[in-house]
Amino acid sequence: MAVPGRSRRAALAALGGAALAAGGFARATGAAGTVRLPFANGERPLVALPGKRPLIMHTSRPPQLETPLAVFDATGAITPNDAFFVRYHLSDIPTAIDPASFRLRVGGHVARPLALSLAALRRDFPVREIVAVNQCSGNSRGFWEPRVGGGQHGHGSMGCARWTGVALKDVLARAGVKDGAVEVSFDGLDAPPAPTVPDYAKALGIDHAMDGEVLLAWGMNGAELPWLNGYPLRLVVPGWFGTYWVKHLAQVTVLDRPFDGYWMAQSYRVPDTPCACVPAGTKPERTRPIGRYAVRSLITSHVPGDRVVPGPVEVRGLAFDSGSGIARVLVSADAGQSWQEALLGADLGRHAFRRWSAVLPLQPGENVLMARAVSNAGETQPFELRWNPSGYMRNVVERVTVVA
Amino acid sequence: MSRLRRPRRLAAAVMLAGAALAGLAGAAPRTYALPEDPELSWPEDPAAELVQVHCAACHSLDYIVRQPPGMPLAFWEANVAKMVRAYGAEISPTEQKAIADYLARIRAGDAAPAAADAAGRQPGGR
Repeated sequence: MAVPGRSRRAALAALGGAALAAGGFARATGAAGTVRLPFANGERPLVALPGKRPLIMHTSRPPQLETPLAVFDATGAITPNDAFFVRYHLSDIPTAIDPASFRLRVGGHVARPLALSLAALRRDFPVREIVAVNQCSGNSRGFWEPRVGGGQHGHGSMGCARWTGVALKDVLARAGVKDGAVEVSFDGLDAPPAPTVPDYAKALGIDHAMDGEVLLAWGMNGAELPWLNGYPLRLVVPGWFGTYWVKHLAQVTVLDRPFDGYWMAQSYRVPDTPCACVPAGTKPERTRPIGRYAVRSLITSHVPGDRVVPGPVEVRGLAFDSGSGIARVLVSADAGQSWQEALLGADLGRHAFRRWSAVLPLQPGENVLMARAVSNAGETQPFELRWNPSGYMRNVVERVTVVA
Repeated sequence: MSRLRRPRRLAAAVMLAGAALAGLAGAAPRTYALPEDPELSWPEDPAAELVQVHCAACHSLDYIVRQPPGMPLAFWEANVAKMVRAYGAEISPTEQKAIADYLARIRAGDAAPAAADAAGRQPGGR
């Protein structure tokens, strides 16, 4: 078909070049350059949407943005609001919200349904804060081997922020949870692009919902939520993958039977095995909903192919788990033949990023850097990828080859 | 290119109406400007029109070009089938096959590029 604004020669050149290039994409959006994530078809434009610095853009409708790894290295354990990653499923995102007339509705299996304004949330319940990591279920999927479909993220679809809000538990107590409640579902203002597409909604077990850590949050790092991170209110589920952290939260429904919506019953499910994995390329017999993070560490100071000066080199990174906190990070510069303890940075809480650093002797030639975290609960990272068909829960020890 | 108008949520309209009323008292809704879809060049093929009409109805087409290179035909067939089965996309079986065949061909990616003939087709018709 004729493509507006492009010559036939350009179209033929694109075909001859095999892959559809992101270069034309970059020019069309006025992007701030491109990055090349270190996997095949890893070129992405850097795009600054309102409220955000230039971030790695995976898709535009809905917008999905990833934080460049260098940002984590520069900014420490707290990810700035304008750098925080963005993930949506549905393209009908709210584009106009009146904070004065916005209401969070709480209903279902409760004694007293509520319609709470933002002012009422701030005024009528104890304000709570927690520093917690939000990681996308498919963070790092681009590194999967063999590759799988879905969002082809690098390592940057994660972030750590200080979330401010009220405990879901306190709001549910005000509504009066009735006997027989088993789950709570959460629905935001974003909507499907067509009536046949399932609305994005998630659910938690009632005990989890009432644990005091799950928050209804309006604040992020001392400011209001950026629009793309869920303005004016989102769910915060410390230690659980970001799929549960429903944005533009508007409806909380207590249920007396399990929630069977698509995005719980059909999507975001992992193999029902201890490792949440199956042999590469195979399918699981049974699945369960994704849940808690697996302990993870990442190197933020170097990317594959970096050139460094031989000798002592500071290698830096971060680590986190699902809420016991990080006990140790071990680092190697020789592909795991020898290890040394990293120095851990400030402890911002058991749900936060924990920074680490180590000075490693780099030899002339190739050096394979590895980092392996151990949590306070004794969980550690595997050396082999725990493969599943959806590319979820990556926590293998990463290898970063640098050349000295 | 034609693109189906994205449906707007009733709640958003109600919210804007409420905001208009609130506007009488001085409050204003907060708004956000979403980006335009990127301009991508699609190798010429009758199936390219199907991609524009069916796929772009729900999401930007960068979803497609971001996928790993060299995925087999079965991958593309399964993904198109999922759009129909799980998301209710109205794509006939003939159209599904044409779209999957086309995407598998143009997203072969890192394979050594074959010379295109004068009409822009790959040798072997794949």
